[in-house]
Amino acid sequence: MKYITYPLAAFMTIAMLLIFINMGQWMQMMVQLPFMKVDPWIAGGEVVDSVITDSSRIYIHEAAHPGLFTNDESNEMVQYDIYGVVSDSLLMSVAGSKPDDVIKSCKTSDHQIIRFYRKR
Amino acid sequence: MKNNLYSSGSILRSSLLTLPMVLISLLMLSQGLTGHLADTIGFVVTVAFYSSLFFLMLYKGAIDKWRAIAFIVSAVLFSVSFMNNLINLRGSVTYSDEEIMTCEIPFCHIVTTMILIPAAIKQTIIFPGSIASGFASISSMLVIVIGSSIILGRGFCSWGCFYGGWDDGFSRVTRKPIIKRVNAAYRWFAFAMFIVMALWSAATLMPEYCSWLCPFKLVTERDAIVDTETLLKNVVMLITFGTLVVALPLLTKKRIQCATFCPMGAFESLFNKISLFHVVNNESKCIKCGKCQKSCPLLAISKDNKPLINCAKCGRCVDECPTGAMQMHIKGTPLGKHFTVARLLFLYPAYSLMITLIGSSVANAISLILKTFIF
Repeated sequence: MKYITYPLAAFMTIAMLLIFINMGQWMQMMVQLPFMKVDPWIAGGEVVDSVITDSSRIYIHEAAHPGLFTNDESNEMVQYDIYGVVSDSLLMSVAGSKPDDVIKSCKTSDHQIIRFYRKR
Repeated sequence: MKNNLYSSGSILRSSLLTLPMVLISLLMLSQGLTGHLADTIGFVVTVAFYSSLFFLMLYKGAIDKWRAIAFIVSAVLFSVSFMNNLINLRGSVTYSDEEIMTCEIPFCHIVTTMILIPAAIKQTIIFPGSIASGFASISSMLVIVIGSSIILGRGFCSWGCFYGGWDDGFSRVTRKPIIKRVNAAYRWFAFAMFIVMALWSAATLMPEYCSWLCPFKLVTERDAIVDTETLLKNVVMLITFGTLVVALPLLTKKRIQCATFCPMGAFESLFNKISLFHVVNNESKCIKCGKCQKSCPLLAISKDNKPLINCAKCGRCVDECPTGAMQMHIKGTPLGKHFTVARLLFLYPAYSLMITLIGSSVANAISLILKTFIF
Protein backbone atom coordinates (compact mmCIF):
# COMPACT_ATOMS: atom_id res chain seq x y z
CA MET A 1 0.00 0.00 0.00
CA LYS A 2 2.81 2.40 0.85
CA TYR A 3 4.16 2.09 -2.68
CA ILE A 4 0.91 3.31 -4.25
CA THR A 5 2.30 6.84 -4.38
CA TYR A 6 5.00 5.84 -6.87
CA PRO A 7 2.55 5.23 -9.75
CA LEU A 8 0.67 8.31 -8.57
CA ALA A 9 3.86 10.34 -8.86
CA ALA A 10 4.51 8.85 -12.30
CA PHE A 11 1.00 9.91 -13.30
CA MET A 12 1.91 13.51 -12.44
CA THR A 13 3.96 13.79 -15.63
CA ILE A 14 0.93 12.76 -17.65
CA ALA A 15 -1.22 15.12 -15.60
CA MET A 16 1.19 17.96 -16.35
CA LEU A 17 0.99 17.24 -20.06
CA LEU A 18 -2.80 16.92 -19.90
CA ILE A 19 -2.98 20.46 -18.55
CA PHE A 20 -1.36 21.78 -21.70
CA ILE A 21 -2.76 19.32 -24.27
CA ASN A 22 -6.32 19.82 -23.04
CA MET A 23 -5.90 23.52 -22.45
CA GLY A 24 -8.92 24.46 -24.57
CA GLN A 25 -11.19 22.16 -22.60
CA TRP A 26 -9.84 23.26 -19.22
CA MET A 27 -10.31 26.89 -20.25
CA GLN A 28 -13.91 26.23 -21.21
CA MET A 29 -14.53 24.71 -17.80
CA MET A 30 -12.73 27.58 -16.13
CA VAL A 31 -14.71 30.34 -17.86
CA GLN A 32 -17.95 28.78 -16.65
CA LEU A 33 -16.99 29.44 -13.05
CA PRO A 34 -19.09 32.24 -11.58
CA PHE A 35 -16.18 34.60 -10.94
CA MET A 36 -14.74 34.40 -14.43
CA LYS A 37 -15.65 37.86 -15.62
CA VAL A 38 -13.58 40.98 -15.47
CA ASP A 39 -14.83 43.39 -12.85
CA PRO A 40 -16.57 46.32 -14.51
CA TRP A 41 -14.72 48.68 -12.19
CA ILE A 42 -11.64 47.56 -14.02
CA ALA A 43 -12.84 46.91 -17.50
CA GLY A 44 -16.11 48.69 -17.84
CA GLY A 45 -19.19 47.18 -19.33
CA GLU A 46 -21.40 49.00 -21.72
CA VAL A 47 -20.38 52.66 -21.91
CA VAL A 48 -23.46 54.66 -20.97
CA ASP A 49 -22.00 58.11 -21.15
CA SER A 50 -18.75 59.94 -20.85
CA VAL A 51 -17.55 63.34 -19.81
CA ILE A 52 -14.35 64.86 -21.10
CA THR A 53 -12.69 67.76 -19.34
CA ASP A 54 -9.59 69.64 -20.29
CA SER A 55 -8.30 69.64 -16.75
CA SER A 56 -6.20 66.85 -15.41
CA ARG A 57 -7.64 67.26 -11.95
CA ILE A 58 -11.26 68.18 -11.53
CA TYR A 59 -13.84 68.26 -8.82
CA ILE A 60 -17.41 67.26 -9.44
CA HIS A 61 -19.87 68.21 -6.79
CA GLU A 62 -23.38 67.26 -6.00
CA ALA A 63 -25.77 66.83 -8.90
CA ALA A 64 -23.23 67.89 -11.42
CA HIS A 65 -24.47 65.50 -14.06
CA PRO A 66 -28.14 64.79 -13.70
CA GLY A 67 -29.58 62.30 -16.09
CA LEU A 68 -26.45 60.57 -17.13
CA PHE A 69 -27.96 57.16 -16.64
CA THR A 70 -31.18 55.82 -18.04
CA ASN A 71 -33.11 53.37 -16.00
CA ASP A 72 -33.29 50.05 -17.84
CA GLU A 73 -36.91 49.21 -17.10
CA SER A 74 -38.76 52.50 -17.09
CA ASN A 75 -36.43 54.39 -19.37
CA GLU A 76 -36.52 57.18 -16.84
CA MET A 77 -33.61 59.48 -16.43
CA VAL A 78 -31.91 58.83 -13.10
CA GLN A 79 -30.06 61.55 -11.34
CA TYR A 80 -26.73 60.72 -9.78
CA ASP A 81 -24.91 62.84 -7.30
CA ILE A 82 -21.21 62.52 -7.78
CA TYR A 83 -18.87 63.31 -4.95
CA GLY A 84 -15.16 63.16 -4.60
CA VAL A 85 -12.01 63.99 -6.40
CA VAL A 86 -11.53 62.65 -9.86
CA SER A 87 -7.81 62.46 -10.07
CA ASP A 88 -5.37 59.62 -10.25
CA SER A 89 -7.77 57.28 -8.57
CA LEU A 90 -9.90 55.13 -10.80
CA LEU A 91 -12.71 54.89 -8.33
CA MET A 92 -15.25 57.40 -7.20
CA SER A 93 -18.19 57.12 -4.96
CA VAL A 94 -21.49 57.70 -6.67
CA ALA A 95 -24.26 58.50 -4.31
CA GLY A 96 -27.46 56.70 -5.12
CA SER A 97 -25.92 54.37 -7.68
CA LYS A 98 -27.13 50.86 -8.14
CA PRO A 99 -24.72 48.00 -7.46
CA ASP A 100 -24.42 47.27 -11.16
CA ASP A 101 -23.47 50.79 -12.18
CA VAL A 102 -19.87 51.76 -12.26
CA ILE A 103 -17.99 54.91 -12.91
CA LYS A 104 -14.39 55.22 -13.85
CA SER A 105 -12.00 57.93 -14.78
CA CYS A 106 -9.26 57.73 -17.32
CA LYS A 107 -6.58 60.30 -17.70
CA THR A 108 -4.69 60.99 -20.89
CA SER A 109 -1.87 63.45 -21.38
CA ASP A 110 -4.03 66.50 -21.94
CA HIS A 111 -7.47 65.76 -20.61
CA GLN A 112 -9.48 63.59 -18.30
CA ILE A 113 -12.18 61.26 -19.47
CA ILE A 114 -14.83 60.06 -17.09
CA ARG A 115 -16.75 57.10 -18.38
CA PHE A 116 -19.91 55.66 -16.98
CA TYR A 117 -20.52 51.98 -17.38
CA ARG A 118 -23.35 49.58 -16.88
CA LYS A 119 -22.51 45.92 -16.39
CA ARG A 120 -22.86 43.79 -19.49
CA MET B 1 32.75 17.76 -1.77
CA LYS B 2 29.50 17.18 -3.60
CA ASN B 3 27.76 13.84 -3.52
CA ASN B 4 27.70 11.73 -6.62
CA LEU B 5 24.81 9.50 -5.62
CA TYR B 6 22.60 10.37 -8.54
CA SER B 7 25.02 10.20 -11.44
CA SER B 8 23.91 7.38 -13.71
CA GLY B 9 27.42 7.15 -15.14
CA SER B 10 25.96 5.47 -18.19
CA ILE B 11 25.40 7.34 -21.43
CA LEU B 12 22.97 4.70 -22.68
CA ARG B 13 20.88 4.71 -19.51
CA SER B 14 20.79 8.49 -19.34
CA SER B 15 19.87 8.69 -23.02
CA LEU B 16 17.02 6.22 -22.61
CA LEU B 17 15.70 8.14 -19.61
CA THR B 18 15.98 11.39 -21.60
CA LEU B 19 14.01 9.98 -24.52
CA PRO B 20 10.56 10.68 -22.97
CA MET B 21 11.60 14.30 -22.47
CA VAL B 22 12.73 14.57 -26.09
CA LEU B 23 9.34 13.25 -27.19
CA ILE B 24 7.54 15.68 -24.89
CA SER B 25 9.59 18.58 -26.32
CA LEU B 26 8.84 17.50 -29.87
CA LEU B 27 5.14 17.13 -29.11
CA MET B 28 4.71 20.38 -27.20
CA LEU B 29 6.95 22.67 -29.21
CA SER B 30 6.06 21.58 -32.73
CA GLN B 31 2.66 23.27 -32.53
CA GLY B 32 2.53 26.47 -34.51
CA LEU B 33 5.49 25.72 -36.78
CA THR B 34 5.11 27.77 -39.95
CA GLY B 35 7.65 26.09 -42.22
CA HIS B 36 9.89 29.17 -42.27
CA LEU B 37 13.53 28.10 -41.96
CA ALA B 38 14.16 30.37 -38.96
CA ASP B 39 11.18 28.85 -37.13
CA THR B 40 12.39 25.34 -37.88
CA ILE B 41 15.90 26.15 -36.65
CA GLY B 42 14.43 27.77 -33.53
CA PHE B 43 12.37 24.64 -32.87
CA VAL B 44 15.29 22.24 -33.39
CA VAL B 45 17.69 24.29 -31.27
CA THR B 46 15.12 24.57 -28.46
CA VAL B 47 14.42 20.83 -28.40
CA ALA B 48 18.16 20.07 -28.47
CA PHE B 49 18.85 22.65 -25.75
CA TYR B 50 16.26 21.33 -23.28
CA SER B 51 16.92 17.68 -24.06
CA SER B 52 20.69 17.94 -23.64
CA LEU B 53 20.33 19.71 -20.29
CA PHE B 54 17.95 17.02 -19.08
CA PHE B 55 20.43 14.39 -20.23
CA LEU B 56 23.20 16.13 -18.27
CA MET B 57 21.02 16.24 -15.15
CA LEU B 58 20.76 12.47 -15.29
CA TYR B 59 24.25 11.69 -16.50
CA LYS B 60 26.11 14.04 -14.15
CA GLY B 61 23.72 13.55 -11.26
CA ALA B 62 23.31 17.26 -10.46
CA ILE B 63 19.94 18.97 -10.81
CA ASP B 64 20.45 22.60 -9.96
CA LYS B 65 23.38 23.50 -12.22
CA TRP B 66 21.65 22.31 -15.41
CA ARG B 67 18.22 23.45 -14.30
CA ALA B 68 19.61 26.93 -13.72
CA ILE B 69 21.03 27.14 -17.25
CA ALA B 70 17.66 26.16 -18.71
CA PHE B 71 15.81 28.45 -16.29
CA ILE B 72 17.94 31.55 -16.87
CA VAL B 73 18.10 31.21 -20.65
CA SER B 74 14.32 30.59 -20.68
CA ALA B 75 13.64 33.75 -18.64
CA VAL B 76 15.77 35.98 -20.85
CA LEU B 77 14.43 34.60 -24.13
CA PHE B 78 10.88 34.69 -22.78
CA SER B 79 11.27 38.44 -22.27
CA VAL B 80 12.63 38.87 -25.80
CA SER B 81 9.72 36.91 -27.26
CA PHE B 82 7.10 38.57 -25.04
CA MET B 83 8.22 42.11 -25.78
CA ASN B 84 8.41 41.34 -29.49
CA ASN B 85 4.84 40.00 -29.37
CA LEU B 86 3.68 43.22 -27.74
CA ILE B 87 5.45 45.36 -30.31
CA ASN B 88 3.76 43.37 -33.08
CA LEU B 89 0.38 43.64 -31.39
CA ARG B 90 0.31 47.23 -30.22
CA GLY B 91 3.55 48.78 -31.43
CA SER B 92 5.06 49.28 -27.99
CA VAL B 93 6.04 47.51 -24.77
CA THR B 94 4.21 50.12 -22.76
CA TYR B 95 0.53 50.10 -22.03
CA SER B 96 -1.72 53.09 -21.76
CA ASP B 97 -5.19 53.67 -20.37
CA GLU B 98 -6.56 52.60 -23.72
CA GLU B 99 -5.22 49.04 -23.33
CA ILE B 100 -6.49 48.95 -19.77
CA MET B 101 -9.96 50.12 -20.79
CA THR B 102 -10.15 47.55 -23.56
CA CYS B 103 -8.80 44.73 -21.37
CA GLU B 104 -5.75 43.91 -23.43
CA ILE B 105 -3.16 43.40 -20.69
CA PRO B 106 -1.66 39.88 -20.59
CA PHE B 107 -2.29 38.07 -17.30
CA CYS B 108 0.68 36.70 -15.38
CA HIS B 109 0.67 34.17 -12.56
CA ILE B 110 1.63 36.71 -9.87
CA VAL B 111 -1.74 38.46 -10.30
CA THR B 112 -3.44 35.32 -8.96
CA THR B 113 -2.62 36.40 -5.42
CA MET B 114 -4.49 39.68 -5.86
CA ILE B 115 -7.65 38.41 -7.49
CA LEU B 116 -8.49 35.87 -4.79
CA ILE B 117 -10.51 37.98 -2.36
CA PRO B 118 -12.46 40.01 -4.96
CA ALA B 119 -13.20 36.79 -6.85
CA ALA B 120 -14.67 35.30 -3.70
CA ILE B 121 -16.59 38.37 -2.58
CA LYS B 122 -17.54 40.19 -5.77
CA GLN B 123 -17.47 37.22 -8.13
CA THR B 124 -15.32 39.16 -10.55
CA ILE B 125 -11.67 39.39 -11.52
CA ILE B 126 -9.92 42.66 -10.91
CA PHE B 127 -7.50 42.61 -13.81
CA PRO B 128 -7.87 44.31 -17.18
CA GLY B 129 -7.07 41.19 -19.18
CA SER B 130 -8.98 38.95 -21.50
CA ILE B 131 -10.91 36.08 -19.94
CA ALA B 132 -10.37 33.52 -22.69
CA SER B 133 -8.91 35.02 -25.83
CA GLY B 134 -5.55 36.41 -26.86
CA PHE B 135 -2.20 35.33 -25.47
CA ALA B 136 -1.81 34.96 -21.71
CA SER B 137 -5.55 35.02 -21.10
CA ILE B 138 -6.81 34.91 -17.52
CA SER B 139 -8.38 31.45 -17.81
CA SER B 140 -5.35 29.83 -19.45
CA MET B 141 -2.95 31.19 -16.83
CA LEU B 142 -5.23 30.13 -13.98
CA VAL B 143 -5.43 26.60 -15.39
CA ILE B 144 -1.63 26.42 -15.62
CA VAL B 145 -1.00 27.94 -12.20
CA ILE B 146 -3.56 25.84 -10.33
CA GLY B 147 -2.70 22.61 -12.16
CA SER B 148 1.06 22.87 -11.90
CA SER B 149 0.94 24.08 -8.30
CA ILE B 150 -1.10 21.06 -7.24
CA ILE B 151 1.43 18.80 -8.95
CA LEU B 152 4.69 20.51 -8.03
CA GLY B 153 3.82 22.78 -5.11
CA ARG B 154 6.24 25.69 -5.02
CA GLY B 155 8.32 23.81 -7.56
CA PHE B 156 6.60 26.19 -9.99
CA CYS B 157 8.96 28.94 -8.77
CA SER B 158 12.08 27.04 -9.81
CA TRP B 159 10.80 25.25 -12.88
CA GLY B 160 7.88 27.16 -14.40
CA CYS B 161 8.16 30.84 -13.47
CA PHE B 162 9.29 32.83 -16.47
CA TYR B 163 10.61 35.64 -14.25
CA GLY B 164 12.57 33.62 -11.69
CA GLY B 165 15.50 33.10 -14.04
CA TRP B 166 16.40 36.78 -13.75
CA ASP B 167 17.27 36.87 -10.07
CA ASP B 168 18.49 33.28 -10.22
CA GLY B 169 20.89 34.43 -12.94
CA PHE B 170 22.15 37.48 -11.05
CA SER B 171 22.58 35.40 -7.89
CA ARG B 172 25.11 33.25 -9.73
CA VAL B 173 27.32 35.97 -11.16
CA THR B 174 29.74 36.40 -8.24
CA ARG B 175 31.80 33.46 -7.02
CA LYS B 176 31.38 34.28 -3.34
CA PRO B 177 28.73 36.35 -1.56
CA ILE B 178 29.79 39.86 -0.59
CA ILE B 179 27.06 40.01 2.05
CA LYS B 180 27.67 36.71 3.76
CA ARG B 181 24.81 36.54 6.20
CA VAL B 182 21.20 37.13 5.24
CA ASN B 183 18.76 37.01 8.12
CA ALA B 184 16.65 33.92 7.39
CA ALA B 185 13.63 35.56 8.99
CA TYR B 186 13.25 37.71 5.86
CA ARG B 187 11.71 34.67 4.22
CA TRP B 188 8.49 35.41 6.09
CA PHE B 189 8.32 38.88 4.56
CA ALA B 190 7.04 37.27 1.35
CA PHE B 191 4.09 35.89 3.29
CA ALA B 192 3.42 39.32 4.73
CA MET B 193 3.58 40.72 1.18
CA PHE B 194 1.06 38.12 0.05
CA ILE B 195 -1.41 39.06 2.79
CA VAL B 196 -0.92 42.81 2.37
CA MET B 197 -1.23 42.66 -1.44
CA ALA B 198 -4.33 40.47 -1.28
CA LEU B 199 -6.02 42.86 1.17
CA TRP B 200 -4.82 46.08 -0.48
CA SER B 201 -6.00 44.89 -3.88
CA ALA B 202 -9.33 43.82 -2.44
CA ALA B 203 -9.78 47.23 -0.84
CA THR B 204 -9.06 49.23 -3.99
CA LEU B 205 -10.24 46.64 -6.52
CA MET B 206 -6.99 47.10 -8.39
CA PRO B 207 -4.04 44.68 -8.70
CA GLU B 208 -1.77 46.93 -6.65
CA TYR B 209 1.41 44.83 -6.77
CA CYS B 210 1.25 44.97 -10.58
CA SER B 211 0.45 48.66 -10.54
CA TRP B 212 3.18 49.71 -8.17
CA LEU B 213 5.72 47.13 -7.10
CA CYS B 214 6.35 44.44 -9.71
CA PRO B 215 9.99 44.66 -10.86
CA PHE B 216 9.43 42.37 -13.81
CA LYS B 217 7.44 44.98 -15.70
CA LEU B 218 10.87 46.13 -16.85
CA VAL B 219 11.35 42.91 -18.82
CA THR B 220 7.76 42.53 -20.02
CA GLU B 221 5.51 45.59 -20.26
CA ARG B 222 5.16 48.78 -18.28
CA ASP B 223 3.10 51.95 -17.93
CA ALA B 224 3.52 54.55 -20.60
CA ILE B 225 4.81 57.70 -18.87
CA VAL B 226 2.09 60.31 -19.31
CA ASP B 227 1.92 61.98 -15.92
CA THR B 228 3.45 62.08 -12.46
CA GLU B 229 1.77 58.87 -11.34
CA THR B 230 3.01 56.78 -14.24
CA LEU B 231 6.45 58.35 -13.92
CA LEU B 232 6.49 57.37 -10.25
CA LYS B 233 5.39 53.84 -11.11
CA ASN B 234 8.27 53.51 -13.56
CA VAL B 235 10.74 54.83 -11.00
CA VAL B 236 9.51 52.32 -8.40
CA MET B 237 9.78 49.53 -10.99
CA LEU B 238 13.40 50.47 -11.72
CA ILE B 239 14.22 50.62 -8.02
CA THR B 240 12.65 47.22 -7.24
CA PHE B 241 14.31 45.61 -10.26
CA GLY B 242 17.66 47.21 -9.49
CA THR B 243 17.69 46.24 -5.84
CA LEU B 244 15.71 43.01 -5.54
CA VAL B 245 16.50 41.36 -8.85
CA VAL B 246 20.01 42.67 -9.59
CA ALA B 247 21.94 44.19 -6.68
CA LEU B 248 20.88 42.06 -3.71
CA PRO B 249 21.14 38.71 -5.56
CA LEU B 250 24.60 39.79 -6.77
CA LEU B 251 25.68 40.66 -3.24
CA THR B 252 24.11 37.76 -1.37
CA LYS B 253 23.96 34.97 -3.96
CA LYS B 254 20.32 34.47 -2.93
CA ARG B 255 17.17 34.88 -5.01
CA ILE B 256 16.09 37.85 -2.90
CA GLN B 257 13.08 38.87 -5.02
CA CYS B 258 11.66 35.33 -5.01
CA ALA B 259 12.62 34.55 -1.41
CA THR B 260 11.51 37.71 0.34
CA PHE B 261 9.26 39.83 -1.86
CA CYS B 262 7.18 37.88 -4.35
CA PRO B 263 3.62 37.34 -3.08
CA MET B 264 3.19 34.50 -5.56
CA GLY B 265 6.08 32.62 -3.98
CA ALA B 266 4.31 32.73 -0.63
CA PHE B 267 1.04 31.64 -2.22
CA GLU B 268 2.76 28.78 -4.04
CA SER B 269 4.36 27.68 -0.77
CA LEU B 270 0.91 26.78 0.52
CA PHE B 271 0.63 24.25 -2.33
CA ASN B 272 3.68 22.43 -0.93
CA LYS B 273 1.24 20.94 1.57
CA ILE B 274 -0.71 19.31 -1.28
CA SER B 275 2.06 18.34 -3.67
CA LEU B 276 3.31 14.74 -3.58
CA PHE B 277 6.91 15.83 -4.09
CA HIS B 278 9.06 17.44 -1.43
CA VAL B 279 12.65 17.67 -0.28
CA VAL B 280 13.47 15.98 3.02
CA ASN B 281 16.46 15.65 5.27
CA ASN B 282 17.17 12.01 6.03
CA GLU B 283 18.48 12.62 9.53
CA SER B 284 20.16 9.24 9.78
CA LYS B 285 22.61 10.45 7.13
CA CYS B 286 22.86 14.13 8.10
CA ILE B 287 26.21 15.26 9.55
CA LYS B 288 24.86 18.74 10.36
CA CYS B 289 27.45 20.50 8.20
CA GLY B 290 24.93 23.23 7.32
CA LYS B 291 25.85 23.29 3.61
CA CYS B 292 22.21 22.92 2.62
CA GLN B 293 21.18 25.93 4.68
CA LYS B 294 24.09 28.00 3.41
CA SER B 295 23.50 27.14 -0.23
CA CYS B 296 19.70 27.46 -0.34
CA PRO B 297 18.93 30.46 -2.59
CA LEU B 298 15.43 30.87 -1.13
CA LEU B 299 16.27 30.84 2.60
CA ALA B 300 14.09 27.75 2.81
CA ILE B 301 16.13 25.58 5.16
CA SER B 302 15.85 25.90 8.93
CA LYS B 303 18.71 26.10 11.43
CA ASP B 304 18.37 22.38 12.09
CA ASN B 305 18.78 21.70 8.35
CA LYS B 306 15.15 20.90 7.57
CA PRO B 307 13.45 22.18 4.40
CA LEU B 308 10.65 24.60 5.21
CA ILE B 309 7.28 25.32 3.61
CA ASN B 310 8.80 27.85 1.16
CA CYS B 311 11.11 25.29 -0.50
CA ALA B 312 10.96 25.71 -4.29
CA LYS B 313 12.53 22.33 -5.06
CA CYS B 314 15.36 23.75 -7.13
CA GLY B 315 17.54 20.83 -6.07
CA ARG B 316 20.58 22.81 -4.95
CA CYS B 317 20.62 21.39 -1.41
CA VAL B 318 20.25 17.88 -2.84
CA ASP B 319 23.29 18.53 -5.03
CA GLU B 320 25.34 20.18 -2.30
CA CYS B 321 24.71 17.68 0.50
CA PRO B 322 27.94 15.70 0.91
CA THR B 323 26.26 12.63 2.39
CA GLY B 324 23.07 12.53 0.33
CA ALA B 325 20.92 13.26 3.37
CA MET B 326 18.92 15.88 1.47
CA GLN B 327 16.69 13.95 -0.88
CA MET B 328 13.80 14.39 -3.24
CA HIS B 329 11.01 12.37 -1.67
CA ILE B 330 7.51 11.29 -2.56
CA LYS B 331 5.12 11.68 0.34
CA GLY B 332 3.87 8.39 1.71
CA THR B 333 6.86 6.33 0.58
CA PRO B 334 9.58 5.02 2.90
CA LEU B 335 12.37 7.51 3.61
CA GLY B 336 15.83 6.63 2.34
CA LYS B 337 14.62 4.09 -0.23
CA HIS B 338 14.30 4.58 -3.96
CA PHE B 339 15.40 8.21 -3.70
CA THR B 340 16.78 8.16 -7.25
CA VAL B 341 13.33 7.03 -8.44
CA ALA B 342 11.67 9.83 -6.47
CA ARG B 343 14.08 12.33 -7.99
CA LEU B 344 13.39 11.10 -11.51
CA LEU B 345 9.62 11.07 -10.98
CA PHE B 346 9.83 14.70 -9.86
CA LEU B 347 12.09 15.78 -12.72
CA TYR B 348 9.72 14.62 -15.46
CA PRO B 349 6.69 16.80 -14.57
CA ALA B 350 8.88 19.70 -13.41
CA TYR B 351 10.92 19.82 -16.58
CA SER B 352 7.80 19.22 -18.70
CA LEU B 353 6.33 22.35 -17.14
CA MET B 354 9.36 24.42 -18.08
CA ILE B 355 9.38 23.15 -21.66
CA THR B 356 5.67 23.52 -22.28
CA LEU B 357 5.19 26.85 -20.53
CA ILE B 358 8.34 28.70 -21.64
CA GLY B 359 9.80 26.52 -24.41
CA SER B 360 7.70 27.97 -27.21
CA SER B 361 8.79 31.49 -26.23
CA VAL B 362 12.41 30.34 -26.37
CA ALA B 363 11.88 28.89 -29.85
CA ASN B 364 10.13 32.13 -30.90
CA ALA B 365 12.97 34.26 -29.59
CA ILE B 366 15.61 32.18 -31.39
CA SER B 367 13.58 32.41 -34.58
CA LEU B 368 13.21 36.17 -34.11
CA ILE B 369 16.96 36.63 -33.57
CA LEU B 370 17.69 34.60 -36.70
CA LYS B 371 15.18 36.58 -38.75
CA THR B 372 16.63 39.86 -37.50
CA PHE B 373 20.31 39.12 -38.02
CA ILE B 374 20.58 36.37 -40.65
CA PHE B 375 17.49 35.76 -42.75
